[in-house]
Amino acid sequence: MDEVVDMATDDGPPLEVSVDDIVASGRLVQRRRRTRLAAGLAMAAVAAVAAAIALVPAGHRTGKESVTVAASSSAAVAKGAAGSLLADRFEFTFSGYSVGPVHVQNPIVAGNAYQIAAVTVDGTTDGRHPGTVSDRRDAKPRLDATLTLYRPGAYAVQRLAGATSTTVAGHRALKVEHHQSPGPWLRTLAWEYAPNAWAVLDSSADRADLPTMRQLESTAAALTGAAARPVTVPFRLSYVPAGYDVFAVGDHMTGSLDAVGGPSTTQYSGVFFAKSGLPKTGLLGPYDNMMWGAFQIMISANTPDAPGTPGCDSGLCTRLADGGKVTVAVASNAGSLSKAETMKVLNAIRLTDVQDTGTWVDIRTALTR
Amino acid sequence: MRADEEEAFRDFVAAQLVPLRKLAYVTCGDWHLAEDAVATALAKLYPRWRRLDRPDLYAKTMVYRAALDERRRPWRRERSASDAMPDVALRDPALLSDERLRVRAALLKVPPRQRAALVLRYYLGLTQEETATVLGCSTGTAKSQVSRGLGRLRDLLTAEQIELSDVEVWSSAHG
Repeated sequence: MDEVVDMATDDGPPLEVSVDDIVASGRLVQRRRRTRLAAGLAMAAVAAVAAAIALVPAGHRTGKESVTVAASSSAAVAKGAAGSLLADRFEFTFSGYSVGPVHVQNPIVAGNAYQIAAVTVDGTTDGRHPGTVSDRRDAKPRLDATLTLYRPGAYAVQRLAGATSTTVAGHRALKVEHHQSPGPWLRTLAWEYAPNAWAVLDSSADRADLPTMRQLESTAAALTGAAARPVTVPFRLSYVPAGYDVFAVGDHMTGSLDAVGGPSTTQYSGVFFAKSGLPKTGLLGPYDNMMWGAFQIMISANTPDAPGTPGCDSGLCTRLADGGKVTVAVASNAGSLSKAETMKVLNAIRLTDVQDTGTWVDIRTALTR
Repeated sequence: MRADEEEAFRDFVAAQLVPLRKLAYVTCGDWHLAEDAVATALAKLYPRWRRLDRPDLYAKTMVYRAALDERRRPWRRERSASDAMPDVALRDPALLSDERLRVRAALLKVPPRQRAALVLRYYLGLTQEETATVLGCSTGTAKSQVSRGLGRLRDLLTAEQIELSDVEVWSSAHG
């Protein structure tokens, strides 16, 4: 492996960032963080990181102009069924649908800032396709695509660089495409489905036409609201460390907040916690799990492919349940919780029947602390 | 941060910059995005330095996630096309450069999560449990990512008729 990585990376350009640059950026992050804690400004962490990035030599960052869009433009938004897409933070308000070969799945992650669903196209597979090596020799093109409905104000559309204006079913919209060989074809289509609330189709494919921007536009135009349904989890939780609250829930998805790959039959539920102050605005994509002080609960099947190992190691505490068929785990992100706290959360989880979603509990009532 | 702590942080950054940039690069496939991801992650590490038992694991986790995020949305940062990864179709007459490009192309065709799992496990020498922590998944899932990544990379290198001395070692090592 050393030989492969070295061959692939030894001719990289010289480093432009120095140790001094990083220390200076770190000091700024620390100052801004203290300011945030003192003032209670939720967005300061984002600003600090952005400012820190600006300290890094940026001679190579030239080129495309950003499209500037006003933060609010209610007058430009078409009225109609889109209103029903607006959700409470732990509700799903749309269902899966198809437009030709493009299939939007049911949304599987919802939280403070967005709800999100995987998107598939006939004849493709995704980056997490659960198959053996021989399965993948069918050489199906790979596609990772999602539909995200951001809550009002969450999506930082003004930061979408290099985009061109368009409309989707009368809604103001922006689209952008990118490809650099041998990398994937990347496309983003964002449209304002309700005042200051944006829906976004993102795709990353290893073939140019999967899907085309025209197909994304048709898929966007077909989105309609459905009766709101609560996000449910297969457990009740009697202890949450002070200061933490749920900010996102994955339904049949754990370990990620981007829905890529769609629902899993062996991952039942993932619940993400953080202290208050996480950004609910200024996002340009799903949360990347890089937030301060987060931890997560993961409920999954205990299988030979993904065996659960009871105990605590490297911030991950695990126990088995339901006669060893279910793995219950609590992962502390970068030591945000002590081992004792992590175990306390783990032992406060009381499962329902993971196989019967009828027994699952509305996340808004599942915390009984 | 006290002076001695900052000195330790500086030593850590000096030692980790290059391997972290390699981890970021094999995750996102772009040198400048990789460097941005590393700079951002290390800047965020600074205020937490004294509280972490394993700053190396924390840094790898942050870099991996930042690089994965950058790969999905490259227009988040502006950049010059001249600094982009070379197109593998433009083969260098020099055999070494040609093989280097083909190895790189093969590596970058492995799905990013599997690619990162391989680099973490075998290049950076993390345990299965540490690899799982960085990837944000269970140990079983991390093992599965490593196993699938090895298979995929082996297939790709075989297709390119590239024989490397340690390929067979990997295939027996991951079980």
